[in-house]
Amino acid sequence: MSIQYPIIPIATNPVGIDAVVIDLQGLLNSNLSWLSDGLGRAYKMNKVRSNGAAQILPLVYLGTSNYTYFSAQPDNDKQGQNFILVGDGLHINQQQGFYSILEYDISIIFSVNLKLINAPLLLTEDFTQNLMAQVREVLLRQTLGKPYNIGQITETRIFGDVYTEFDILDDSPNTGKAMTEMSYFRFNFSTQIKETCPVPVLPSISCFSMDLDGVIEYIQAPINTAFDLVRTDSMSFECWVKFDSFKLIDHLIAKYQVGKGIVFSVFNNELRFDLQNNSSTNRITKYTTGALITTGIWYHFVATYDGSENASGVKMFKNGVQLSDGFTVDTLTGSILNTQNVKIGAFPSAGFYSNALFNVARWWKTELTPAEILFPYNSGAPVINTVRFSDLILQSHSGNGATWNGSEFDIVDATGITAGYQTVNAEEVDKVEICPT
Amino acid sequence: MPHNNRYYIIKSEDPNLPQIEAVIVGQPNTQRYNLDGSKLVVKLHQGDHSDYPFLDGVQEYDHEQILEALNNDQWQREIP
Repeated sequence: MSIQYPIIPIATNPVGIDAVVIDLQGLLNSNLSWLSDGLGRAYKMNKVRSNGAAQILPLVYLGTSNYTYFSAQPDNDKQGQNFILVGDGLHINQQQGFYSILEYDISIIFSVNLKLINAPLLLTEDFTQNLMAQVREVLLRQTLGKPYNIGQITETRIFGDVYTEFDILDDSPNTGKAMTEMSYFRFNFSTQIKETCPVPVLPSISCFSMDLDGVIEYIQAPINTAFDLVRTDSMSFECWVKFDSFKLIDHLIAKYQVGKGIVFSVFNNELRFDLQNNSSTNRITKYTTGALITTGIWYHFVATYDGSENASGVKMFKNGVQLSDGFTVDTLTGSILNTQNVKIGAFPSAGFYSNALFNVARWWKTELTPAEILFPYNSGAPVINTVRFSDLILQSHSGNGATWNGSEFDIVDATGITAGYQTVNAEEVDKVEICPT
Repeated sequence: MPHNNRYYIIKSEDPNLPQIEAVIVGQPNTQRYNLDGSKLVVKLHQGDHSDYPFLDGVQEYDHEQILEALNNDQWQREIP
């Protein structure tokens, strides 16, 4: 048997339910000869649009350099595919000073192409139950002696029940394939494991930021058409930053030439967002009020714009909370396109350089929702796996992704759109082991 | 966050500029000029005034001092 995605990561020291999932994944892959795509845990669901209909799909983390998720929706190109869902956990016999038993709901969801598994047999019978019996054998027999128990199992073959957590279209009426080739089934059960004591300590992860001096240093992305958003495009910016001092204005992220472009900045202790065609007569400029941004504190800043060409379409957030609107200019009708590089932490042509630590900086070509803004803030920093990855056009892990090339830092472009970003006028000591807190 | 290097404000037509550019952080084309282009601010990789005779007579700034020296309309545009 071959696994189509051999890069599925195996944690080096999984504990608890993570260890159970990896063990089950291994048992299924090694015992089911027809299972071509034995995937692991579905970590998140992705809402997409297909033929005008919204779908929520299971995604399984593949662990590539771009933090790729694989969509585990039914696919008739795959002989046999499965993924594992982990539901709620329950502490049983919880007493201080004693081990607890932890019980989790688990589901294993299969989609199979019977024709690819055994085309001659399919001419005479639907052999789905044969496959399910083999899965039962794994769950009930192959798990004997394991440090976890498999509880009462229920099964279903009804498409809507198999994918009940998701909004997946059953396109069999259109393709005709599902009636003959495709079959779906699901096993639900509970598993009991003994609590791991003492609580394992995760290995410490180094976290670096880039310390810009506010005099001559900044980070720059190469010219790329991916950054050429226009005033009718929605967009969002995110930045983790800690200021050491302020000027009148401190740029966070900008694609700007004098009087034209896009700027997300801090101005007089408030956030400011600009879309400009002309800095006097043709622009959207919006300030927040009450932000009280100060030095010496890490902040998570986000600005979103809905592409409406109105200042009302701009929202700004500090530490996951939307800020009140302040002074606003709303006269934009012209183009915001310009030929400048995207810069983080400076606008050299006007002499604006930020004296600050920069950690993660991101730019999406979509408007993030408040929940999608709150997620990375609540998750702590740096959050490597971000929301809306497919809409990211800039992602600089300004310190962590930086390597010294002898004269500047090369910084990984985590989106893969460009060959990478680079510092300007930096020194090797500017990469500091300081993390947003 | 300490930035311990020494900064200098040099006239654009300083005859020692080629020597200065050889010992400063960054490249000649990435240096920061004031708005009329008559001066630039540079930062030494290491050392100070006493290590480089061609900087004789040029005022030396630490990080805090240079931030203050550049925080004016000679070095920054007005904000609309």
